[in-house]
Amino acid sequence: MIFDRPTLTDLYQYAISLCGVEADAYDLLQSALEKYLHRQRDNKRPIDNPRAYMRQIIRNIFIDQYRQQQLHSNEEFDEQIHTQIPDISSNSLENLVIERDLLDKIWQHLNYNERELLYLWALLGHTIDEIALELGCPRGTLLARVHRLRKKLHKTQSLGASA
Amino acid sequence: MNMPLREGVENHLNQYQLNDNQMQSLMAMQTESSVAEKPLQAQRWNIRSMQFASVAAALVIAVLLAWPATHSLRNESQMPLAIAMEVAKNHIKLKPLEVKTPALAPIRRYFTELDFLPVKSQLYSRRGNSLLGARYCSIAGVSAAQLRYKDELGQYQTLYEVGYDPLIYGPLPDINKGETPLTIIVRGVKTIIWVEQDLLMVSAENNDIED
Repeated sequence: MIFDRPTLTDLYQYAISLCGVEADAYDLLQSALEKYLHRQRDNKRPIDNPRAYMRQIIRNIFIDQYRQQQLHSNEEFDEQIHTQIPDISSNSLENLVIERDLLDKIWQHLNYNERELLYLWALLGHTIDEIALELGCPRGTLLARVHRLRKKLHKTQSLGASA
Repeated sequence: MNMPLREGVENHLNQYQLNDNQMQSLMAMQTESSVAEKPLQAQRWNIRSMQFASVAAALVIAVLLAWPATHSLRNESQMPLAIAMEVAKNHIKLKPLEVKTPALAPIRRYFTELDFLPVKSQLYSRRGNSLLGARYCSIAGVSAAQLRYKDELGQYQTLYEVGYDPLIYGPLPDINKGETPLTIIVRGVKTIIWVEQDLLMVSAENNDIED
């Protein structure tokens, strides 16, 4: 056995953070596990960090599917939205306080990049630099993402408060 | 009541747990993989290669046969074709069932996370197939039910059911209004799309090609 129950649950939650829908997340996890097991059988050397490797497979499969879906959707791709890096610190998520049920309300309305950022930061305890390393993404892009996420959370809370 | 964002994210994500069937299926995949012997793996690979070659050959023939029909569809709307492709892909994969039963009632009880109840399709039930079970899936990002049947020849057929939203799926033929279901052949799979009892239904089966 490679992945125990708690690890499979963690990976399932990672898949949820990418696709947002439970049925899709299970399919994604199952496909990723199939690939992982094939690669493990084919590789002579053991895989160094199975969890991180699984996350990478999950992400790659998701991105392939996401790009296919873009053919039938006009949702903007996150990486193409930002044009400049705002002046913010990587601690700005740490200080943020939200209403208890806020995420239940807006989870589906966050894009996959934002949900993934939250997962890696909150559940795995990664810093922005570690997230940048895992995702192979420039630090500036992540900080811009944090900035947009903060604005989105603030805006939703303000609307909720004024309603 | 307020809380730090980190705690909020943890609470939110911890709501999502694999159910027992899903967990057992993933654990079984790992167990089967670890006990499999190399020669058996090679045999499986050969079988899979042959299956892949068959599907690829069927796909080429099906595209040639279906080109006039699919060509006109593309001009009208991409959505039926997108649905057909997604369903065909799922049909080919035949992922493990999450609930195995020949009756619809236990399946209806199993699907607690859907915003509709799976129903017995009048159109589909005429065919006399045997129900094997079901699993969660999705169509265009919306959670759906996938029901698996076996026909008299032992071929697997799948029926997908999801709440019909015209804003997501566009206009589709409603058999309760006497409209004719849409047939699209894609990836060697014959898909039939229709609306029934306010549900979008899609059936998928291997496309029979005569020798």
